[in-house]
Amino acid sequence: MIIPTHESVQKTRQQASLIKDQVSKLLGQRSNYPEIISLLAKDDAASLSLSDQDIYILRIISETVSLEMENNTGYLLFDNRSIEELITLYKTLSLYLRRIEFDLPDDLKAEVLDYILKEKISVIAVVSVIQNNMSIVDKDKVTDGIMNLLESIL
Amino acid sequence: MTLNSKKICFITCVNNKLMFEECKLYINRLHIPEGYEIDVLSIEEASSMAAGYNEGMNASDAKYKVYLHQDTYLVDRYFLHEMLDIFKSDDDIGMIGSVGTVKLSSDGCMWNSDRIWCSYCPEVSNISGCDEYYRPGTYETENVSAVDGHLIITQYDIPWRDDIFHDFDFYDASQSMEFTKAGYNIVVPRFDKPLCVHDDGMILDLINYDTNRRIFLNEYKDMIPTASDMLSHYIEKLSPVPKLNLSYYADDDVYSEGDIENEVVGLIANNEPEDYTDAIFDNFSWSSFYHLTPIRRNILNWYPFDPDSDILEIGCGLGAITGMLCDIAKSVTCVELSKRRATGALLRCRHKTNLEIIVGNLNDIRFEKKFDYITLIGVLEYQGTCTDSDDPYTDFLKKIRSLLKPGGKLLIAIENRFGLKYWVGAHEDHTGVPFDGINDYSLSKSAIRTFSHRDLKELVKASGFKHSYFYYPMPDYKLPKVIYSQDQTPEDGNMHNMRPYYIPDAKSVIANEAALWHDIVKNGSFSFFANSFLVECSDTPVNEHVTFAVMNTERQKKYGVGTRTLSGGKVEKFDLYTGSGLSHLDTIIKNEEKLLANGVCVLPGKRGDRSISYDFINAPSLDSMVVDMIINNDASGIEDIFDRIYKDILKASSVVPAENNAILKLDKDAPTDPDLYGPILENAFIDMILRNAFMTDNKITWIDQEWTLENMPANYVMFRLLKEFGLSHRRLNDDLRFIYEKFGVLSMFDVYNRFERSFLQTVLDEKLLAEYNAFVPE
Repeated sequence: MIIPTHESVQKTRQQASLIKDQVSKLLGQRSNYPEIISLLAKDDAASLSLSDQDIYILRIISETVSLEMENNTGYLLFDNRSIEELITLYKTLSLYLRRIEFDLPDDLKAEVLDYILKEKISVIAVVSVIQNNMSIVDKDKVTDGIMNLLESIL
Repeated sequence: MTLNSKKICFITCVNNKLMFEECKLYINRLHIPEGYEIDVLSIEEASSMAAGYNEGMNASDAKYKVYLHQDTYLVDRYFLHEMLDIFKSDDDIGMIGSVGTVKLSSDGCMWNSDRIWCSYCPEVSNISGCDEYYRPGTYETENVSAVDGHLIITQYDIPWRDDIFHDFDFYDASQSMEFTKAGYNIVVPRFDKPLCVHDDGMILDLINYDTNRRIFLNEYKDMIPTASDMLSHYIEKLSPVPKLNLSYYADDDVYSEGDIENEVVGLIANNEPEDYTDAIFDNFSWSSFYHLTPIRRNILNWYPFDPDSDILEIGCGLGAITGMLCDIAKSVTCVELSKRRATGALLRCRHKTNLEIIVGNLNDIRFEKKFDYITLIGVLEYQGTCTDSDDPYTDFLKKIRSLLKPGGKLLIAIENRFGLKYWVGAHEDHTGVPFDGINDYSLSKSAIRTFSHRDLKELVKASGFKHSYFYYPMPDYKLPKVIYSQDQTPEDGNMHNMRPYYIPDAKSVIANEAALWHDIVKNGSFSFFANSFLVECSDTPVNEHVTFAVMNTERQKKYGVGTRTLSGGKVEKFDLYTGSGLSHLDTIIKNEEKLLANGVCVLPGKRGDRSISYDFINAPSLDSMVVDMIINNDASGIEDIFDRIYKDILKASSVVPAENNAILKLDKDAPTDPDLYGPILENAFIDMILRNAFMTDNKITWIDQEWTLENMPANYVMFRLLKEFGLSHRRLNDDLRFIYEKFGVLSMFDVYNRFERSFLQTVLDEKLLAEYNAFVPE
């Protein structure tokens, strides 16, 4: 690992902050979503995502929204959420999905489903988080687990 | 406070209640050993990790304390049983971690050290059902020098150093040192199941990391291994086969890039030889890329070394080409001034059985034998400081000449003092000063110097060599993609899509080097302005030379081949990686046989040990013919050639129904009208490009057919042909618009381009390419 200096980390933070401000201004209107997706797909955002966790998460969410839009998903992740709320959602969902990976009791696993339904998170978004979250190792198990939970309510 | 030996306390610094509540779910489902009780303490608003842990430690009378991050989830439900068993097995064990390092890196950074761990993460395990079993008894553990702070368990209380660590870094390494100072052992269990998951999000907030690192290094300087200790540790751990000869070592590394070399040596030690793409990607810097990228080998992986030869590599550095030389020669002897670099080369070539590395100054070494080849890559320019003489460069080369066997060759690679990159303002590669070499180093007054074409030729002659042959690696000898020679200079400024690059940056560059090459080549001045030289020096004349080579290093290794031409016009495809590309060479031969069977005229290749050779074709390539026709406004001639090419494309394969079109299956946005695609070929030969075709006796003869794809439109093959021509001759692209339209390529360009990108993803090594593109921008 190349050890970053205080100055280089500060610079990264400033650059990340600029991008987050731009995204913040665009959130709130669906017509702006393609512009957000494009902004976060650029090389500078990609480069920042290696050292800024928020940009890393926002890029995953942005790619997810792109998939949601292609598939005409009714409720998109970007809808009615600020940047902070998006990042919190990603982290919370990741925590909950781990309960499936490690076979926590059924009542705790049921809370995962409750959260997904309450937050109106699409199946595409759930699968995207599973696939992109590095700390979910047994992705097949979690995907199967969450699909079983979703099917149980159909 | 009297400690309760039947109590275990979990201590966590908390700033995210959601995470901590989740963490507690896992604590609550742990099996608690009989007779024991647990306690959970959360410390909120701690000013630092050390301060928070001190607060928790002092607030609890538990003998056993588990310090864990709020984002650490204990997935092993028998964790408490296992920890108690380990502590009770040995009172000297003071601390247990789930991730630790046997030898902390000399920079203090745990990530740069060898680590052992039983945390749950993709690199380590794919185990689920972590609580399948508990086996009471003795556990194998590994003594470590430091553990990572996400999970630390102790059976003794020692104050955390909140006096010097005021943030959230290095409290863990520091506490490990404190336990060691107190005489306790630190261990990581050798479990086949993980203890915990640490969901730190992979990207950390390191704003104060370096500051705390320096505090740590200063506080524990007597306990942390030196860089020299680390080298010894790696050698002991890896037991390299080759010999490191220190008998000429003066105990002083006079040439060094600094501590960054330690990191690169660490990457070499912690990865399998020559499998460094991921290591470069994860530790990205010019140094890691420069020393470890396989593109460095392109300076000589095309050169026809005699396999029964002895090679002397002077200045092997960190072994960028040493392994390759070992694979192609009988023996390799390296000389390297720096012990650190020599150790890096040794570790990199740790499995080689035909290598000796001597650390020392060449001028001091007595060799027991002479050599068939001597390589001097990026070394000659330093002789003003390394050779004690009034004429150090000549004397140095004379000394080297005396080490050659009769008929032996010296290969010198060096920058051209008048290289075009310097004229457009690039930093001089050694002094860092723009225009320095052009001004005879009067700006920096450095003793390091490079040479012009004429001066280098005369230097070689003055050293006693009767013959010299000049090669021109482009963009330079450090990251060459294409090699020209005095017998084969570029036809145009494109130079096989060569891209210039500038280290450390292009801020001083004042002109477009890529654009200038066209006029320089047209005016016959290439050899004066070439950025680097590779000079073959010999006493006896050399009858056959490689006159040109181009290397496809950005591909995955299994497709890594290069192309070279020899004097006399013979062309060869050769394996770049000493073995990995051989099956791809076999594929090329098979493709040629298929084309011949289908009545397409092909120049058949002869399969050699590591190459395919093609006889000389005394005919113009279709590429040069089309260029001439464009210049002469011969539209009907152009159309005729493309019509004939198209006939061959159709002849090469049988046609399948339109619904088999592979593009429609893969690209749901592609238009479905079959008329847009032309015939769908069962086996499309997609390498039917202009550069791979020659006009012989009014027939098109094809060579170098590497790729076939199933169920592809014939028009896609035309797309590839036109795209390749357009990339090589950007100024002429518009003149073929009518051909684009005739074969339906214009309207379908985006569709075919998307497919092409997908195809290239299966061929290229994307990480290697990303690394290259980071320094050599498109």
